[in-house]
Amino acid sequence: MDARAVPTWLHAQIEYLRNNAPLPLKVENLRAGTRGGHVMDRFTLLVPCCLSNVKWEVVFNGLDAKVAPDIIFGVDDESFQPLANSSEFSPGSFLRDWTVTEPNSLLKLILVTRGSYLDYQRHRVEAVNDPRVKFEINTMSGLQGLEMCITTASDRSEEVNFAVPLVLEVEAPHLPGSHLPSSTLWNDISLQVKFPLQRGQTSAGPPQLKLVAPPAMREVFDVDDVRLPVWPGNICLVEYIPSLQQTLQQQVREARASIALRRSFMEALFPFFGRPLEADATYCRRISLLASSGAFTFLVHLALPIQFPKVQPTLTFQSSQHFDTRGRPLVSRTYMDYPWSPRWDAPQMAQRIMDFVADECIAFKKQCNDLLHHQR
Amino acid sequence: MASGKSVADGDIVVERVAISGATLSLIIQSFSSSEGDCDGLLFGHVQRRSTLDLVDDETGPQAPRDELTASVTGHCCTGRVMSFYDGAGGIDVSKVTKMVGERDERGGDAPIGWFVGRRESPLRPSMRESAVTANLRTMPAVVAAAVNVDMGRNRIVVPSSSPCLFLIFSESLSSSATHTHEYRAFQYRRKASGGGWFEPCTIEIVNIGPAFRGSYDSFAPVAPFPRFLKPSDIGGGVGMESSPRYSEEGLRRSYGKGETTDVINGKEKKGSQQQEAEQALLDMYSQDFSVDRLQKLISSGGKGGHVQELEDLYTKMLKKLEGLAKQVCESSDALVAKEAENVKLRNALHSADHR
Repeated sequence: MDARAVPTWLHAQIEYLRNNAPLPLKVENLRAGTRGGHVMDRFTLLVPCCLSNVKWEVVFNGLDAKVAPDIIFGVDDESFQPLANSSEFSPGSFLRDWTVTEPNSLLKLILVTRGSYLDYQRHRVEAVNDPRVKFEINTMSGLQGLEMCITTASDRSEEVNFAVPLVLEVEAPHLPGSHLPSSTLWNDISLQVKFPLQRGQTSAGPPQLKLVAPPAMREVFDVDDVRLPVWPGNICLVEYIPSLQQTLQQQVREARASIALRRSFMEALFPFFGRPLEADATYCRRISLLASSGAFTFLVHLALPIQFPKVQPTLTFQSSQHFDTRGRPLVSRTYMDYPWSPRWDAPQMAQRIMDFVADECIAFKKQCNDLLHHQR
Repeated sequence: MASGKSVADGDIVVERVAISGATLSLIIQSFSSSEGDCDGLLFGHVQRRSTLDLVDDETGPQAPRDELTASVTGHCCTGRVMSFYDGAGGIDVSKVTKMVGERDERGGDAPIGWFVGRRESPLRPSMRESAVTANLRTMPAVVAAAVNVDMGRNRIVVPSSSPCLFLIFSESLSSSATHTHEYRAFQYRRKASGGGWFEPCTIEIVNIGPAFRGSYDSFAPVAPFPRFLKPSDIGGGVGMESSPRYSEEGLRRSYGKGETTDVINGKEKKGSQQQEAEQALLDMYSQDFSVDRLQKLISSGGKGGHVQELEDLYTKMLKKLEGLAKQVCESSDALVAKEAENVKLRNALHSADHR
C-alpha cells in the first residue's frame, strides 16, 4: 500500500464528485491530517460562485469514516455560518445523518452548502444601502440563474458583483456527422457586472462589464473578441442586456456558420492531398495532411482561425526526412502570406493552397538540406 | 468572578486570554499525541485586573484601568473529534455533563469554552465549529432542565457571566526535525440581530516577571487541594460541594484521613497508596493535631466545652515556640563564641603580618 493513501471510502466520494458534478468543482492540494502524515483526508475545493471560484477547505477524519466532514470557508466569509439556520435546506441535515456509504454524499453536501452560500451573498448584496443596487436587484429578480456577491479586493475596497447568464437563441446545429455539443454550450456565456462601492455607495458611472464563457468555447468562439455595446448613461442592466444579447447572438451565429465553412474547406482539400492524417472533426480548427514532391515527403499542418474565411489558415511544413541533432523533425516557418481571398469557393481555396505548397516545398526542402549540411 | 462590563448583546468582552505555560503545553501535548484531530473543553474564569498606566507627564489624576482577562486553567480532551457534539454541531448534553462533572468533582473552574486541534488546515473556525460555539453559548435554557436533575446546578454550558472562548491549534510537520505549533484564540460574540461572530483575542502566556505583576496582585488560588476523604464523606455524595477551593469543606476534606480510600470504588483504589504518602506528609505538618479535632472546633459553632480543645492547641503551639526560642538562644551563644575565637585569630594574624 502507498505510504500516503486516501482511504477508499473517501476516494469514492471524491471520484463521484469529480465525475458527476453539474458544476466544474476542482479538488486541489489533497493532504494528510494525521500524526504520521499517512492518511490523506483533507483538501481544497474550488467552488464556482458568481463567475469566480471560492476556496473551501474540506476536512474529513481519515481515521473515522463515520465523522461527518467539515468545511472551512474563506477569510472574508467568516460570517457565513450555514449551520446556524436549521431550515430543511441547510447542510445541517446532511451532516447530522452523514452516510459515508453513499458515494454522492459529499457532492450533495457541497451543492447544498453552495446554495446556502449564494443565498448568503444575495443577502449581503441586498443589505447594501444604495438605491442603484437595490433597483438593479428588483428589476433583475425574474432572471433565471442570476448570481450575485460582494467581493473584497486586496485594498479592502468592495464591489457588488452580478453574474447574468445570457440567453442566446441559436438554432440547432444541422451539420452532418457533427459531434458538436448541444446548444447548451452556447448558453454558457454570462455577463459579469461589477459595481465598485465607495463608502458603501456606487458611483454614477457605468459598471465594469465583462463577458465570461467556459474555456471549452474558446475553440469556436472567443468572447474576448466581442466588442460590448456602449453603456449609455442612466440605464439599468435590464435595459442593457437585450441589446447585448442581440449583438452576441449575431456573432455566435457567424461563429457557428464558420464551423460549417471550415468543414467544407477541409473536405475540399481531400481531392488534392488525399485523406488527412489528422483532423479536428468537432470544431474543424486543425488538420494535418501528407504531401510529397518527388522523393521528398512532408507534412502540412493547417490551423483554421475562428474568423475563417475572413482570416486565412496558417500553414506549417514538417519534413519527414530531415531531423535535427536531437532527432526532432525540421519544421518550416508559419506561412500566413500566401494568396488568399475569402470570396473564393472552397475548391478554389484548396487549389490555391495546393499551388502554394507545391511551389514552397522546394524552398523548404533546400532549407532542410542546407541545415543538415551545416550540421555535418 | 467578575461580573464584567457588558455590552448591548449581553456578552462580556475580555481584553485578552491568559493561559499558563503549563496549561498551554498540556493542551498541545494532548493534541500532538492524538492520532488525528481532536477537541475538548476548556475550563477557566474571568479576572478583573486594575492596571495603572505610568506616564511621564502628569496631566491629570491617573485612573487605574480595568481590564478583563479570561484565564484558561485547564482542559479536557478525549483525543478525537466530535466528542461532545454531532455532525451538525448540536451539543450532546450528556457527554458535556460527564466531561464537566469530572472536572467539577476536582474543584476546578467552570467551562469557559472549547478548543479544536486539527492539522494542515487554516486557523479559522469552520462551519461546524461555529455552530458548536454558538450552541455552547446559547443553549443554557435547554440544558438547565436536564442538568438540574442530576447535578443540581447550571454549570454545564459556558455560564453567561463568562465569555465563550474558542481556541484552534494546528501542528505542521514540514520536516521531521521541526514541529511548528500554531494557535489562535477567539471570543464568540453574539449579535443583537441573532447569530454571532468570532473576535480574535490575544493570548498571554502567564509567566513570572514585571509584565505579569497584575496577575499576582489579583491572585486567587484556583488549584484544588489533593482529594482526601473523611470517613463521613463516603456515605454521603462524594464531591458534591459546589466550590471546595479553600472553603471550610475543602479544608476539612483535604486534611481527611487517608486510610479510608480503600473503601471507595475501584478507580480511586489505585491512588490510595500515593494518598497515604501524602497524608503522612500532612500529618507531620499538623503534628498529631488530627483533623477530627480541628473539625470539632469548626463545627461546634462556639457551644463551649471545646475551650479545652482550643487551649490544648495553644499550649502545644506555645511549647513549640518555646522550643524554637531555646534553639535560637543556643545557636546565638555558639555564634558569639565562634566570633570571639575568630577575632583572636585575626589579631594573631595581624601581628604576624607586621613583623
